[in-house]
This record gives sequence, C-alpha cells and structure tokens, in this order.
Amino acid sequence: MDQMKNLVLRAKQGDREAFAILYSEYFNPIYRFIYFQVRQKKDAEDLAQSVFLKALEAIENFREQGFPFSSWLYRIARNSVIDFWKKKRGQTIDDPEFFSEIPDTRALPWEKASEGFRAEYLRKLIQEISEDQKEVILLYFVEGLSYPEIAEITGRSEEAIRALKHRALKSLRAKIDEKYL
Amino acid sequence: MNYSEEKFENEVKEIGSFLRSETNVRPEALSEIIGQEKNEPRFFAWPIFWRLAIPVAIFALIVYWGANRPTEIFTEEIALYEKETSFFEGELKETTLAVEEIEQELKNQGMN
Repeated sequence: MDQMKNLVLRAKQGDREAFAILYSEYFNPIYRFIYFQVRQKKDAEDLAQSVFLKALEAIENFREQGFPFSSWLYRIARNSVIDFWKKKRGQTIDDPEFFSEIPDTRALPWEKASEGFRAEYLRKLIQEISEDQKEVILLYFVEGLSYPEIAEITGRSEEAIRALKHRALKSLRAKIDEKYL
Repeated sequence: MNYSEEKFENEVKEIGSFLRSETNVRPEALSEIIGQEKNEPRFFAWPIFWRLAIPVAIFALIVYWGANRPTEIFTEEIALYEKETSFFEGELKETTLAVEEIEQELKNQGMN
C-alpha cells in the first residue's frame, strides 16, 4: 500500500515511469468495470485507455482523501461510461459474444453446473438488472471493493450501497429461479 | 433454487472472483497510447471554439472583401468622372470668355 502511495506521489511530480507502473497495475480492473457496462471489447479498451490519459492530465490535482488511488480511477471510469451512453443514446451495440443466447439450463440443476457456466450465466443476467444495481454488483463482487470505497466512487451513502446490493442479489436470484423453474 | 440468501451471496462472490480472473486484457504500453494521442491531427485536438472560429473568420473575411471591392471601383470611377467634369468646366469657361470677348469687340465696332 505504501509502495502504491509512493508511486502516486512520484506520478504527481511528473514521473512517467511511476505512472506507467500504476497504469499496468490498474488497467485490468478499470477495463473490466467498463467492459461489463459497455459490453464491447474494443470500446471498453478505448475507454479504459482514455481513463488513464485523463488521469495522467489531472494527476497533479489528485488529493488523497483516505481512499485508494483506484477509487479515483473508478470515478473517472464511471463518468466515462455515463458519457459513452449519452453519446450512444438510442443505439444498441451489444457484443454478440457477450449477448449470445442464454442456454436452456432446466435439464441441469444450478448447483451442479460448472463454475465457468454459472459465471457466464450470471454475467449475462447482470445485464438484465438496473444500471445502479449492476454497478454495485460489479464493484462489490467482481472487483472486491468495500462499501465505503463504492460509496466514494458512486457518490452514494454506504446505506444506499448496502440496499442496492441487497436488491441486486434479490433480482438476480429471482431471475435464476425464473429461468430454472 | 432452495438455499439461503447468505449461500447465494457467497456463490455470487465466488463467481465474481472467477469473472475477475477471466476478464483480462493485455494493456497497450502507456507510451503507445500517449503517442497515439500526440499523433492526432492538431486541428481535431483543438477546443470546439477554435475549430468553429477559424472557418467563421475566413468566411467573414471573404464577405468583407466582397462587400468592399465594388466601392473601390466606384471610387475610381467617380474620380475619373470628376476629372472629366472639371476639364469640361474649364473648356466651357474658356468658350464663354471667348464669346464675351467677341461680343465686346462687336459692340466696340458698332459704336465706332
């Protein structure tokens, strides 16, 4: 953690090498967070790159406020995703790979399905819940962030995040039940 | 499914870490993406104000030039006309003087 803080400090002072290390460290989490929301590999890669370019331009102004550097990056990524959907308003650009038909699984009980299969299934079901619930599921379960961090990134209270997570799990469970019954 | 909320939450947690390990890309080198940004044509990197201001300024110059050009032609024509007018005025004056001289001469001859 101290090593990261040191890297951030160096990057703030204009050390490109330090920023490059932060970039390789955080690129994948930021890419994943974006990819699950924009559903296009190419767009997700471009957006993730633009997040780091914005961060590079603004890192001088970054002030540590008790949250990891990644929270700041997630916030930039979140705004980039919002801007992306504003620009693409009315367009559906789903990646066929992402949105291929959800297989009929009634023959195979959920508990007995492989982890890979359940992950793929859940990834698709996540697209069917509301945007704010999806965001919390991604940050909490996929990225493993804490409630305070998610609250900081999304600008909501911790209670609101807990409530959203509870509702998201309920929705997912209902959807699985619906498909399996 | 007939198991508890807690079990389901743990399951989603497991699936989440599975997705985390499965969804990765090899990022392009940072120097590459900074390079791409720098290689963008500069015009398109400018703020929207300047991108609009330059064509508008060129258009305004063309309009200004077009609007002023005929005035210059008329100015030249007016000057030429004035030059010609003053020439004819001089001629007329001279002719009038000559006529007056002849009249005076005829008057003198008549008196004698």
